[in-house]
Amino acid sequence: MRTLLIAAGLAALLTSPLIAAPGDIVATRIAGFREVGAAFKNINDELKSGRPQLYVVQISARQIRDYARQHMGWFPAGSGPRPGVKTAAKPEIWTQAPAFKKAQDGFTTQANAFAGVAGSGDVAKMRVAAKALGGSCATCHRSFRVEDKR
Amino acid sequence: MARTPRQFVWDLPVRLFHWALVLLIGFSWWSAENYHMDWHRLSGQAVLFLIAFRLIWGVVGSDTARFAHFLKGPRAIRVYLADRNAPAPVGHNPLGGWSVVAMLAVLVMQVVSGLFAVDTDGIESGPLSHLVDFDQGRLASAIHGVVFAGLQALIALHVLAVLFYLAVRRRNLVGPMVTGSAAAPAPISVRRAGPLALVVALLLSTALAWWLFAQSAL
Ligand code: HEC
Ligand code: HEM
Repeated sequence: MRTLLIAAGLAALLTSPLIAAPGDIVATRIAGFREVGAAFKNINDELKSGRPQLYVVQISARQIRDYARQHMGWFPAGSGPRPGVKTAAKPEIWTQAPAFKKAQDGFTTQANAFAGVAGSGDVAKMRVAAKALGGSCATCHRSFRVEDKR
Repeated sequence: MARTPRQFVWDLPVRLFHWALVLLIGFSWWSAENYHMDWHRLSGQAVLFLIAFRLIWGVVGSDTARFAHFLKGPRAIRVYLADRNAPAPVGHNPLGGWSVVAMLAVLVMQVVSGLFAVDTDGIESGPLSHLVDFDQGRLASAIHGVVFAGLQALIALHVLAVLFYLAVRRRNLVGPMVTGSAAAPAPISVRRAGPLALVVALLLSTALAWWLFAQSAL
């Protein structure tokens, strides 16, 4: 009996990280997207001004590109909406996996493209590329994120 | 048959303000729901112009448009509510005056939160969003949403009140808001604003609306 209890306890201890994992990855991706959002805000604030600080744009572009390398791992199966987990991820992420993958790839492509243009120093081109990058966020959010609009 | 005398109620600027506001609130809503954020921004700029104009007009406009004229204390409100047969005031009644202030206050919150709002996609943020950080901008965006729910509730109440007067009190308030006047046996004179006041109000509100939305004005 005693050994059984210890075994059960050990098993519970060992499996608890697995059970906790979906919650953690939700927190990770929300924090990640907020970083992406903040970096993208820096870019747009600079591009909006008459004299953009190019190094701010370039650092932020690199940050976003780095996140674009991680985000593929942010949506493991089982990390969708369920009781007790606050997430705006829609179930369609997993039920329409190919379309979601396309949206992810679109973001990766645009993030890489923007990082390239940011390095070139051509502000007019950066403005166009920033629109395209923002478009890749919007495309995914409209289909796969619960809207709060605005 | 003699023409019934008309009572002047609302000047043209107030009426134009009102119906332009109705159209623009509807358009702002529609454009946000359908991701036409560039139109939403323009519409917000126009609403800001209207609100600024109305606030100034509330000081320099015709009597029925002035806050000092239609804002009354609790006693006047009690008297108005207690006596159904009390003579109807020209312009806003003592309670209606405060509903105007409530609507204008909520509209100000709506517009100001929009100025600083940062959207999730980052492409269409408010014209002053560069003055706040990302978290503050997201908060402004959340406020923009909550305040709109409040605005919708106030508008519903407003339209219900107008319908109440039409159906229960047998008084058509919409007519004067369209034509500017109402039939009345013994019209009283209302002091009307002159062209100078109009020019000043238009110039100030246009300047504000232009300046706040101008690229990196601040
Ligand atoms: C492939 C889909 C996809 C792409 C591309 C994408 N996002 Fe998201 N984003 C999501 C999902 C899904 C959520 C909701 C995450 C959750 O709540 O678990 C989200 C949430 C967010 C949030 C809100 C985080 C919070 O506070 O709740 C921000 C900000 C954000 N994304 C910014 C961006 C920006 C900026 C881009 C583009 C540079 C972008 N996202 C690209 C899918 C995407
Ligand atoms: C977007 C929706 C609306 C908003 C934001 C709004 C706002 C306002 C405001 C701010 C005033 C005060 C006018 C002033 O003194 O300048 C007002 C008055 C008035 N509104 Fe509206 N309104 C809306 C819709 C409507 C509709 C649909 C009607 C018609 C049914 C209407 C009828 C009136 C009338 C009759 C008055 C004058 C009230 C009185 O006699 O005291 N409104 N409205």
